[in-house]
Amino acid sequence: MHSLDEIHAALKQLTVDQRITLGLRLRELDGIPSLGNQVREDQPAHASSDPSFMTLEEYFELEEKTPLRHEFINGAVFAMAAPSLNHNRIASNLLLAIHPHVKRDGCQVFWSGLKVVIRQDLNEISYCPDVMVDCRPDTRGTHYLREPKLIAEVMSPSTQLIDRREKLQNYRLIESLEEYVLLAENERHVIVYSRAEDWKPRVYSRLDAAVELRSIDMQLPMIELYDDVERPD
Amino acid sequence: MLTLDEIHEALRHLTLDQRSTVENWLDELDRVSIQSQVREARPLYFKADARFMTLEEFLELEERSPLRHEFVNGAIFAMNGATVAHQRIVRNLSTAIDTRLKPGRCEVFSSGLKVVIQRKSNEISYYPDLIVDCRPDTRDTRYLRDPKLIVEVLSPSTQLIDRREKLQNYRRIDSVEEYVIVTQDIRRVTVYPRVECWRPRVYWGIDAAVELRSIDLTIPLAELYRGAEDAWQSRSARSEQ
Repeated sequence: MHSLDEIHAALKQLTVDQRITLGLRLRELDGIPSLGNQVREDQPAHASSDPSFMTLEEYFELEEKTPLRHEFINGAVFAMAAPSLNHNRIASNLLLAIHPHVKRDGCQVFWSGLKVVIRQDLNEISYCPDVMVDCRPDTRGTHYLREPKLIAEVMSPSTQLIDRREKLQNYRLIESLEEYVLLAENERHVIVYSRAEDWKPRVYSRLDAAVELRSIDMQLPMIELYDDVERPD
Repeated sequence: MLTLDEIHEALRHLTLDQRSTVENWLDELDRVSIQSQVREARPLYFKADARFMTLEEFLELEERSPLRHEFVNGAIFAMNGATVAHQRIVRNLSTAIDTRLKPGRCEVFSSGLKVVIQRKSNEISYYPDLIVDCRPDTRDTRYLRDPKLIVEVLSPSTQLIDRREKLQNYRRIDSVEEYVIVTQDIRRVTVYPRVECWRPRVYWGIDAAVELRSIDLTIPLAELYRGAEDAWQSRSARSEQ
């Protein structure tokens, strides 16, 4: 029998239409007994609950088992896109620039897709931001943060709408959060949303500008943030 | 390399968990390919409208503007045009609901009417593809506030917004009992019902019928997707050329 890895490799060779067919086929399989999983509840034909719907606990378990990272929004999980070189360059430029300064103030910088968990009313959300600053050691779980002071995301074309709309809305719910920073990966463009300014965006795009991060009391030159980044026109 | 048939066969032997993983891979691959297919010339990438405004300013702007926008906490986002399949599905569903609804009580609106959400610090305005409203409110005739049912038909460029952000925000409307997502290019409808804690029910296939319990109607998918398949066929004909 073919392994999951073989299937994963094969998926990449399919056309969009074939993948759509396969996606449909997968849903259909969820309605009939599968050979790998004999015990199934009776279900009405052609209707099923979404198999990928889960609790936050189940999501944490999934994240420990799978090689792919996911975000979690009220029961639904979404696989994260792999970062590009520019994405990584910008995130590490930011990280290196703020790290010594933030440490001096007794805070810590977290990166590499550490999770932040947001619980408010009926909402349970887990995101994996690119960079976070946390100054409240008491509120850290072992695998996630709850009360960061600063969150930064590097935006790719496929995530920019989510970063600017959904995540802005949800990060604002974190009471400790003072600033949310978005850095475009394909051009020199930084947006800072600050609680003190009622989340009204400040935009930086000139090469000689310096991004002001009031939450950690720093000025970051654009030229430093976009150092080594290709084609930031 | 495995053929499509071999993959099909292999899927039958996976556990539910493993199939979930495969589904996530598919989702991820689609997200990447959707990017490369997007027809519009990078419409929203950072050239987005930098204007920041109040809800009232936005409502005034929309009366004057030839383009429609969505409003999320001060920021505005231009909306994309629809496809033929999208419009057929919306029309089919609108007709199906309209002809079955008991007269008098509820009303169907499709395309171009705003739903405004004001809750805690959030102020949001969307244009759902279809709305069923059972609480006529004459306070402001520019938008609805208390819809019972909201439907979005997915488009490649906005499907993540519909499945993630809008699901969260429509849940915030106390009167909303069901949120329905219709996939445009295969027969699949997902219903998120409030009474089931928003746990999604998925309907698919040739002889399935979607149950809209909030308005007590059942609509066959064949009726919902009538005419939409033609648009799929011409699409795959195009991609084979």
